[in-house]
Amino acid sequence: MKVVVCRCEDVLESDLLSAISGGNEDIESLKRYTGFGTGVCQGKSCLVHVASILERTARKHPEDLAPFTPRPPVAPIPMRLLAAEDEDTVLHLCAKAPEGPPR
Amino acid sequence: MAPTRGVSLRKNELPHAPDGAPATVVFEGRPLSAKVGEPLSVTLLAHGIDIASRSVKYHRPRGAFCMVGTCGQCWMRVDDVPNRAACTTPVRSGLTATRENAFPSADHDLFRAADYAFPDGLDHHKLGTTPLTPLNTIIGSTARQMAGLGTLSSQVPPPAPKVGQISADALVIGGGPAGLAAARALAQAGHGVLLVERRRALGGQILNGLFGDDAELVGLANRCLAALSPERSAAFTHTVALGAYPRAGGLPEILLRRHYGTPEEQLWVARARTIVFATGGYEQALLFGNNDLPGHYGARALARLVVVRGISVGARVAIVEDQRAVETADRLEQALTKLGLKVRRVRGHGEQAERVMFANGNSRIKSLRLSRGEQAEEIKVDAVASALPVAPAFELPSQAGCAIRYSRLDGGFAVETTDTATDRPGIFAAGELTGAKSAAAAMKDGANAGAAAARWLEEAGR
Repeated sequence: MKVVVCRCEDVLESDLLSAISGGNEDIESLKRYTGFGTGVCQGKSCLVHVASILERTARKHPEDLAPFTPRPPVAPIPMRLLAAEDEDTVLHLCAKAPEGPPR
Repeated sequence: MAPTRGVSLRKNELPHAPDGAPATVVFEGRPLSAKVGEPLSVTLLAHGIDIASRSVKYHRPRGAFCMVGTCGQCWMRVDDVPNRAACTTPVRSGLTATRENAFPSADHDLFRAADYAFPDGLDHHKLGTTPLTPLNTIIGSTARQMAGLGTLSSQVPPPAPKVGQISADALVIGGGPAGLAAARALAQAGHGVLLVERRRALGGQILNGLFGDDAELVGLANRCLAALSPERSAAFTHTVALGAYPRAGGLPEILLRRHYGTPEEQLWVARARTIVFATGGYEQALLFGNNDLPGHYGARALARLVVVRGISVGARVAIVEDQRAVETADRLEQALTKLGLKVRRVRGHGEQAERVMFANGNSRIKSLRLSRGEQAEEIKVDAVASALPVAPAFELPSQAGCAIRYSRLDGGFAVETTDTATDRPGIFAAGELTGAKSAAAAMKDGANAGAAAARWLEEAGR
């Protein structure tokens, strides 16, 4: 019976356990080997499960657990939005009259 | 069920459902009655359609889990645009939607053969690695045909609007208990505030219908809005913060997507002299056999569906919980019992600790097999709610360079703070982002973060 840890990429608890016994004892290696966390949710539903599986089975210390790097965009967006130009004017929400953009 | 207010109820709708102008959406060619503005997932569940998608590899049926657009289980094709989260797509009349990547349909998908053929899973490191190259080619192309998320739209999208530029004294990311309290404190200290919230209304978890008895929490959004001066503050709702980009000589720029998924959507770049992160966290599903079948919801998602939206998920609900989220479980049990539902708490803690072994069901969860010590028990359920601590949404603070640490008790990777200050000068963090806490505690934490950010602005004369 399948225990699904990463729903986006259909990665099972058994996949992770066999990857760990194969020597992948950190989150980054497990991601690269099983593909967990590389789907549409980008790890929002599975990362902490994997951390706790590592803590339990590979006897990892909490201080030694590091997540994979969360890169922008953190939610999926259509590419066309990124191709837009910047507005020329800046809207200011400041108590004092701004002399320039915040530094 | 008898019609109320002259409107006949949809299949899975309870009589106390909030009103919205009637609309019709076309789902896989079938007209469905809906309400303008409600999330598409709510429309579908109201009609008893609980299979939202098929999984990429095994084609297992999947249902909405988080109801806030993060878990990725309800993606479908909407108005010919693929990969739209149905739970954050507001309904308008005439909207069309179809599920993808299934043959002949998501309800009866023959590709699920992959699930039955590999009951213990399929190792893609070994599949298609036979010594026979032609066989590998066939396996490779078949797998590629079956997996995936649908096809691109044939429409030419409209040109993207220009990227808006905004600057503020203070930027608060997250409009839940912590973010609202922080924005309020900053505004009361006289600073210009930009408050950013992913959902269309302010409140975060306060909007889940579980805090009716707490006037302070329920009134928080209005108190915050009253404090925000219209001349120098703004609340960007329905806006998702996509990333923090470090820059020389100042705090990171935050990229925002305003009115996401609508024709009015637009990117914005926000700069500020101080930032308060109050991004909360993501609901998690307990791990057990068949835990991914439809019918398994986050506890907060289930509350929103049943208590706020009036959707029936069936008469018997199991709340599977651990000690870190007892408050949510207590509140959910209370609210569901009040509506006449039969609630069974499955406590993973204490002397009588129970464990969920697996769920039975083919297309949705029908029962749970539990174990308590040596004993096993099977309980019939219509829905399961996972009450676990949320996993802190640490992505943006991490991109901004803030230190994070793993703590199982705090739900995962939480931002490290000292009196709400992160290790980055000028950046503060509050609420569930910094560890598991109650909504009331998150509100206090947020007020402290707002006050600390205000002091930071004043001390340096920034």
